[in-house]
Amino acid sequence: MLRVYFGDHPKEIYNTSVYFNNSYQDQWLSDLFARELIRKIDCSEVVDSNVIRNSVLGSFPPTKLSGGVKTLLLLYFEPKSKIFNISTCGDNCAKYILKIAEEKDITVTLHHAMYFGKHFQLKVINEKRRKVISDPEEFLFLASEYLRGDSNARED
Amino acid sequence: MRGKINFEIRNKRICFRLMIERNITVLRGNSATGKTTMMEMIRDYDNLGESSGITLKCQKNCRILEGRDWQERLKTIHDSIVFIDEGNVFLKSAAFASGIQRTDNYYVIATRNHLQQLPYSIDTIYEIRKNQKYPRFQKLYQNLSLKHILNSDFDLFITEDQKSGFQFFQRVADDRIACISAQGKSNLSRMIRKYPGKKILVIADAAALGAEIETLVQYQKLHPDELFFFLPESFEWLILQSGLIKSNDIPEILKNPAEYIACEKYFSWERFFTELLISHTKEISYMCYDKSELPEFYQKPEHAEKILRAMEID
Repeated sequence: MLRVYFGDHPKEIYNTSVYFNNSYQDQWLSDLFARELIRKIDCSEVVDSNVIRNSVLGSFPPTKLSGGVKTLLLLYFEPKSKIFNISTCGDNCAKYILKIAEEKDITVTLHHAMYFGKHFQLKVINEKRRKVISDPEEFLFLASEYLRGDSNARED
Repeated sequence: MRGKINFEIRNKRICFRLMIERNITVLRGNSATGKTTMMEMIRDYDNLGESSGITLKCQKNCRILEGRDWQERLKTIHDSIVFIDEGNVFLKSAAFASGIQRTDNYYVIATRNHLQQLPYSIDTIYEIRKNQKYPRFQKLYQNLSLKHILNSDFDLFITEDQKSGFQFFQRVADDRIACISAQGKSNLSRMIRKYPGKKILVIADAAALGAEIETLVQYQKLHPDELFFFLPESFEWLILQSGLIKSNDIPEILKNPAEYIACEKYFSWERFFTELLISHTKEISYMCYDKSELPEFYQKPEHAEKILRAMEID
């Protein structure tokens, strides 16, 4: 199940790109699902565990993957206790987030109204809510309610 | 800083070109379109100049803003294009929103965050498309606004404005159409939800609606026959554009506002247009513009029609 917290969470890993660069493991890129993510989103092929290739950038290391793919790989491989910011993912990552959440309970933060399509199931966990949401309109308005307001503006 | 700024950065493999039109530009869209690649190139050029192997063409300095000491760094940057990549947590802070006000820089921000504290235009939100040799910037929200709203069959007008703009559209609505004020742009989506099944026209200033437009557009996708938008730059812009105020300089200014609007003075273009309207009407008692109380002159049927038709003028 995908558990979504709108706004800042004290335990969130906000800059997923930097976290990925310092924590990914070579064997991640041998995984078939990881390779599918890299192929479908970054239009790139894994050559070996340290080399990826596409027609624009040529050969490049995993640290140069897109922010969206890095976040998806973290959701897929890291322990479910980690809370990652999925506003680093575009809407083209949404279906893969849902796919990962079918296999594993994941908790994420969201700082915008991501478009999950018309068919999804997730829990919004702000204010200790635990209701499963599958209505895009309800999701949209919970997003706009929780993402607005001064309480969501950081002081630092 | 004022005016449109052409920006181009390239290396041997890739090239990004963008015309920056206002003080705040936001880059959003799908993952893997090249936003971070562009930011990394700007960072390399900012650190190493031409010895980075990167070519930058821009009439202004291009700088990267990031890290914990962003406030100190910002104090040293003037008359520049400042690029900020996602992952910088300060983007959401009140300190950032106040820190960039009254600066003479333009800001290009890559983020999907709901930046409600920044008054950016729906016209300066871009995505990168990759369907050509080089990535291409494209406005994310185009043709959202209706141009003709006379003789339409809406059930309800919801205005962002609660003062002059609301008074105007309340008069236009007459008894045929209900008209309510959301009392601010951040209440628009909440207000829409209160009227399911109604055919609603949302009337708001495009100049500062950037943070709210994502939610509104998603709601419109769910209810394409119920929700419509009328989004002039601002209500004051609409009056100026209508030609009601006779002046030699107004048409020139409206043709290319960026050349006249200094970002250090006007954080949002709507403030400029309000000042422009006030300054051009202050000597004429019957049309002296007052944001809190709209003069009767603007509400006369023949004048109201001219104002409503102003969006049709190119």
